[in-house]
Amino acid sequence: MIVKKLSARGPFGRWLPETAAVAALLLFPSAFALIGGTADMADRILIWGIFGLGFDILFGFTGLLSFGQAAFFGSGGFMTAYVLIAGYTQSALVALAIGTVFAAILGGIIGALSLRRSGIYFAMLTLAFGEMFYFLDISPLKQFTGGENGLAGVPPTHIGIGSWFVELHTPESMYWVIAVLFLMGFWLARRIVNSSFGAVLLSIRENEERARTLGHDIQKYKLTAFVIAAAYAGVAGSLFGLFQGYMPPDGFYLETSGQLVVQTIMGGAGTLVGPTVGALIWIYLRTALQQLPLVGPVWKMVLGIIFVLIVTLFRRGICGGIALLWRRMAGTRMASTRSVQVMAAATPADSAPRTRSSLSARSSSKRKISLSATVA
Amino acid sequence: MDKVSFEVVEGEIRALIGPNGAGKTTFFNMLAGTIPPTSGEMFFRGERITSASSTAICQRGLVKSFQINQLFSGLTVWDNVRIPAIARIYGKFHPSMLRDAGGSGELNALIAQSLAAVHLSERAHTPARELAYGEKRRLEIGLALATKPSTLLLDEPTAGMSPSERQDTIRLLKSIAAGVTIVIVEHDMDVVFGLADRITVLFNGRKIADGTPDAIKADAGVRAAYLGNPVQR
Repeated sequence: MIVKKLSARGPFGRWLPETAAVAALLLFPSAFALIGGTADMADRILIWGIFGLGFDILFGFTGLLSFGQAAFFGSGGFMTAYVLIAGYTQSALVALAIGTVFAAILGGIIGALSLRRSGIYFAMLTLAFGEMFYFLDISPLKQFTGGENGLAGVPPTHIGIGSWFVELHTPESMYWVIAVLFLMGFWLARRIVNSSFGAVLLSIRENEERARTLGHDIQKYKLTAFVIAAAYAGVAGSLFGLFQGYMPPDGFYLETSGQLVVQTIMGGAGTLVGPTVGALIWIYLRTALQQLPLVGPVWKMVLGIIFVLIVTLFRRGICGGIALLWRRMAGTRMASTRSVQVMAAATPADSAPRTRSSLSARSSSKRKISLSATVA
Repeated sequence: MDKVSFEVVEGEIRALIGPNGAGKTTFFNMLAGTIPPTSGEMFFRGERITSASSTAICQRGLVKSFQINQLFSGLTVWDNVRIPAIARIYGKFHPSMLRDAGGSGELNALIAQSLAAVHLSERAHTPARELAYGEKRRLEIGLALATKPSTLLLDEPTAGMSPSERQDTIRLLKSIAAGVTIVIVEHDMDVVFGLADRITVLFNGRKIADGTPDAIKADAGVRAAYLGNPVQR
């Protein structure tokens, strides 16, 4: 069994993705600087990446397309900013936890309402809720959120206990906080999608009705996925306010929800890192294109064309395409080692339950009615 | 459906036959909880299942395999069977997502056992969409088996199969039948008479006969409605 558990990840070792993520996060700031990226952009990319980890569990793995994720990004961000500005806590991490839990609770409520419908109707409901939250933000809740102005004056990120603390003032130092949270989020997301829970999420994406008839309470699984995505959005929104020192109403914009969908599709849905790659391309090109002499004025159009090209050329996004290639190359080797283990597992298990069941049903002399129905 | 009453004894193989449109699949869908009957009652092992959901009915051990393959085509064969196995071992909702990443021994044993029962062990890591048609039909049965059903509803398990595949399937179903009650809808009379302990005949939503294979063969009403009609095979 131990052998089997280890090999469930393939021959490349259980912690390979995490190790690769650590290495990438360590190298990213310096590598990114070589192509003209700034720490500010790197921070944004990882924040969108965290946002995308949750969204990928919802969209890429469960197949639920939500256009209202900004509602949770904004809610988490404003709650965190508000708690810090109002002075309820000094600690950035406590505030972030409060913002995250708040976003998750809202996710539970919105999810329970919008998951009553599926497919395009679900998408439309999330869109409507997203717009509703934007309206709540700029109008009735203005005294808490600052309305159109947003919440300025979020104190510098304060991490530590008592007199042992650091205050982070620069995007360069914030990068490491965001990177650590990204890493934790990535680890957690990988655990989720590789668990039995994650397997059921995949089955919902593949064939919801069949998963239901095979004995799964689909609605609860969907709602849990929705809450997970909302919590990730809450973390991302909180970091967004913290690193800028300012929580703008943009957090609630429809464009925020839209950009998340675009980045996820571009980078590759169902790959977890896809949305981060999508964010890297989107955020980097947005800045780089604007600085080019001829392209500058029409940068949005060029970015649009690039999006269309990527989606057309890579049917599963950039990471989906790479993963497919990887699997094709590693496929033959893995298949041969795995089938042996399957056979080994099959032999001992085969005999025991058979005999038990044959005793209970076949040899009972009394004729027991199993199934009866009178219907019209 | 028009006042069909139907009873299956534990451990038997019951065939449900009738011409197209007789209501066999509809009747199955009612039993499996995907269509509610307008009136009447259904009991499974003494418990009322009339208004239960398909999820609840499956959790109790009554499961249906589909006439048209309903697989998780993007997943591997192993992962397909993993879905019903999770429902059987962990119940209808199992949110503990941080443990059992590699699957428990019990879970893996049930998956392996179900795959072995439908002769798909060697194909465990093939995506379901790449299987041959006959293999897909077997996986369809494997999905139902992995819920460890006490009663299995099979909707045309040999539909579209070649004669040799059909013989294999008969053998397969016979081996499964030890310990499981099977209700089977089937158009192929070789399969029906080769397998069934009892046969129920539906016609236009009504039950017109119910009895042993020999009694059904001899039944004049059945011959007129179904067996004797060459168009219906």
